[in-house]
Amino acid sequence: MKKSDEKLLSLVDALCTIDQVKELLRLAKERNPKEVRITAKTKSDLIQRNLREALDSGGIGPDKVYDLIRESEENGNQHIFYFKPRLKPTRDSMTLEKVGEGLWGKGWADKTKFPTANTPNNGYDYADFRSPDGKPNHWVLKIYGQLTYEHYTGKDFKEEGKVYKEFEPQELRVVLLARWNPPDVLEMRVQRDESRRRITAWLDKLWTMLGPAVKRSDFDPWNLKIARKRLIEEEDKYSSVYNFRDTRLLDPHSTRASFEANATAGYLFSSVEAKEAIRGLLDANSECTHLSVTWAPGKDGIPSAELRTLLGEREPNEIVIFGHFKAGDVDYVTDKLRFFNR
Amino acid sequence: MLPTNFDSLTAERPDLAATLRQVAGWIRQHPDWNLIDPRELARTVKNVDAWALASALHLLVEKGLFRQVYMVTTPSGVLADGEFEDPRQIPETLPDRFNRTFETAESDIIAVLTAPR
Repeated sequence: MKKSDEKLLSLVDALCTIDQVKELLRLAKERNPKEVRITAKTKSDLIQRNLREALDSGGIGPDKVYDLIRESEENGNQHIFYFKPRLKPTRDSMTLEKVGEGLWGKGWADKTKFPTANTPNNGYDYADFRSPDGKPNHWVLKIYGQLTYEHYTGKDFKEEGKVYKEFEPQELRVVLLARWNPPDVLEMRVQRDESRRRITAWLDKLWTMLGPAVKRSDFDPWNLKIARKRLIEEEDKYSSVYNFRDTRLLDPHSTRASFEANATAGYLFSSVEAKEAIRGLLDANSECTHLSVTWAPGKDGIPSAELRTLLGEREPNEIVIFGHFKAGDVDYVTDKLRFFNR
Repeated sequence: MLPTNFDSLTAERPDLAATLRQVAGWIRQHPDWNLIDPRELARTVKNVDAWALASALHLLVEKGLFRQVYMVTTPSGVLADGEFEDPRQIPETLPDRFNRTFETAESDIIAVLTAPR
């Protein structure tokens, strides 16, 4: 097995669920019944034995494994920052060809060897640039990074009247993604992290690496405040589509009010009192700054599962997606935001 | 919704039958809860002896109708997302309901009952 295939397996282990790997093996088994086995006692057996054997025998091509990794690491467990082009010429220039040429010059498709599973030792590098299947006007730019940071272990030492805190270096694999979602939405996706400083730095890094082709100054943040308000106001009408659990409101005098349903799977409007209070504040010109929305699985399979989002984390154009999903699931959320933000 | 049929248990432990019926009633009144938070249960269920309530919850876990897991309260007092089989699995930090990180060492750990796997 090649070194790059070893890397693939470790990424599958880190990013994909047992069900996702089994589904991949099942589809491969239909075509190659003798070369692929599915049953395994542990996730490790499933990946290190079954998937490895399938790759070695050619029962599964590495491209299918890349697809699985892509699906997981690109869609979910992320902050998505939405932007819109200021002018039509910018919008018109957001094609795969023009952006590719801006980043790597003419003949970029031959010069670049995408996709790659290799993560740079320290720093960031382009990992993929493509149009998603069946969407020729869309594109996805992926960047891999490797970061070493100092993590406080929680241990302190006292010596000669001074206190020393112990830090240990920790390595972090980073996946950054820019996604052009026509006709006019640019999504900047960075992975979730406990450090807001890192999230902001990753967003800046994404803009910098996209810079030769796409300028930050040509875009405005897409403020989702209308969507947050409408989602609350029209909840009765769309109760089979979504519900929400927590919200924060800011009144015209900058007084903040937070409402959090008691149960983790709770629904805020199951309390009539909370519903009346929230609607009263909105009627009095308060702004909804945060709204945690759970999107129900669709009858057509999109979203494929219950999908929890937080609309408006620190920035008005920001959402957080909790958990890994399929590409169509995240696009579904963006489409709904387009609908409700009018 | 969480299980509410405790008939076999009430037959086995008639001394806890009334309490088990109250627990079942509480579950039915809270269809959007996917767990039993004993703090909330104790606050809203009336005229129940604390020992009987604790025994009933213990019985539900012992008989496999529920699973005991641990959760952490956020600084605002609600439960943070994330269930842990063992308190030692709780990470140093967790996000609150608005994705702000807080230190779990400063928060309460609550043993809650959830549906079995």
